[in-house]
Amino acid sequence: MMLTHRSSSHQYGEARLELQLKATHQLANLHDDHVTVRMSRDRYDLFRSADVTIHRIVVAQWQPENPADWLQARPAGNLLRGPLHWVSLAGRPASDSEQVTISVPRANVFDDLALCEIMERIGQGGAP
Amino acid sequence: MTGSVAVSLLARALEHLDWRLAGGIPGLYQVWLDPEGQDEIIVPLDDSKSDFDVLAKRALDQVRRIPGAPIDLVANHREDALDQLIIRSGADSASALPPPDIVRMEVPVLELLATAGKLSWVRGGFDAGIGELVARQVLGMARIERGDSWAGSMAVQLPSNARFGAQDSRLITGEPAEGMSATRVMDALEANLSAAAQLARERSDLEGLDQIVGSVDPRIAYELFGVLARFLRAGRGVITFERVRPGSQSGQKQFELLLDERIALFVDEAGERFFPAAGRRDVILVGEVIPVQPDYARSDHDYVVLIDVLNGEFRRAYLGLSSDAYRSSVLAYREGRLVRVRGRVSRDGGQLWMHLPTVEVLDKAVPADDIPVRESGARWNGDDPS
Repeated sequence: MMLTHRSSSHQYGEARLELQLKATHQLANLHDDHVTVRMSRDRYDLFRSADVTIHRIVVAQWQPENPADWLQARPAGNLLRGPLHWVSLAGRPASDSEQVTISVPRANVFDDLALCEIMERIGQGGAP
Repeated sequence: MTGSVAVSLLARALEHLDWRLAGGIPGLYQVWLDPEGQDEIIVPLDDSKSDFDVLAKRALDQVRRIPGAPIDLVANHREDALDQLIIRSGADSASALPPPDIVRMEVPVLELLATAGKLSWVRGGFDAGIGELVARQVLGMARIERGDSWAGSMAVQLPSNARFGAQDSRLITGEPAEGMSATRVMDALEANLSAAAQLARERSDLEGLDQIVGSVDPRIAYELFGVLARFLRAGRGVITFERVRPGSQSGQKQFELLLDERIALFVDEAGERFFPAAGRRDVILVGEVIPVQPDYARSDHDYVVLIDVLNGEFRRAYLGLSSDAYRSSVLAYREGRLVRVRGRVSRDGGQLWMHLPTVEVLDKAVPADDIPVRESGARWNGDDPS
């Protein structure tokens, strides 16, 4: 998923961010301070690249096993409930595993404020 | 540079498809929007970035899926070869070359192609990719029809003092030697291609071309095209083509020189497509003078004259002329003569421009039947040249 934010406050008028959305419902992946998800090595290699054209982050959600606990279908649209967390993998070491386990800190809540801050940093030439 | 090659191909394709450049970050990436403003394609610009290849491939795949995408992006090229052409890193070998002596090599390469209809599956020597690229982008589509008979020879001339980088050398000769000479490269090409060509010559029916699997690395074709384009763009190389007229039989060959000076216009465009950073070269146009509205003049010092090259195969070029050249053009117009114009071509708003070219009025009058129909309402600008 590619997100674009346009603002005159950005150096070049826009900031772009590519997201990898991951979800897990296994309790074993839910820890006190982080959530673990898995990525293919190809995707991991792309997302761990440091000097990039487009910045990338992984956004993860731990979902209860019962969909009714985190998903509500309504006439106006579907409602996805539950906190999202994000992590930048830029600069991470290479992995030999075909499936790479990623730890996403639960302190990194991915909400509207976090997204605005990320875009602001990218728009100023920084990293997420 | 890799980035410019990718941008050149993809941006030109998107322009052709009426997409518009909508934004991006200078030097990093471009954002193109479709005519409806719904879809976007990101074209990466900086090949030093670690995700350049991924984004370039992603953009290429997106462009290929657009209905009407140019043939060179969607034709039967092998994926790896096309990607090699677009994404491969490499320095512009022509950029730092001093004035050349010429090494000449004649390659009976077109015998491998046989017919345009067979281009798709000729393996070894020059394959579908180079055949299509040469036909469509170097020689110009107007003269190439599927089903034309093809045979003859191509002569390649490169500066003897040219030096090739390690990657170029590896692709052409299989040896990653830094600073390989043009002579060495030519020898390697000749050895590889002549073996495959010999096989082709031994086949009278040429039907078995698709079974020819020579020892030639197919990437040579792409690499050679790139090398040729660089040298041609820099005005340092010469390529001549001969072909058999369509329908002629073996033994009754009527060769015609296909790559004459006017074709240089297409060579120039093809070179710009792949190597936009290289220097421009003079081209020569021969055609008819047509007066145009003064609105076309870009400055008070420009006199603008349209030229239609005969045979109707070429677009018009707008000329910014000196006073003397303008008077010569008017003379040619009034007396129904052709003019030969030499200068450098540039693009502006999709039109070809030559600024301050030399103009020579040819002695021979234009045969009435060969004069294209002029645009209605065209007239001279306000100056009386007489």
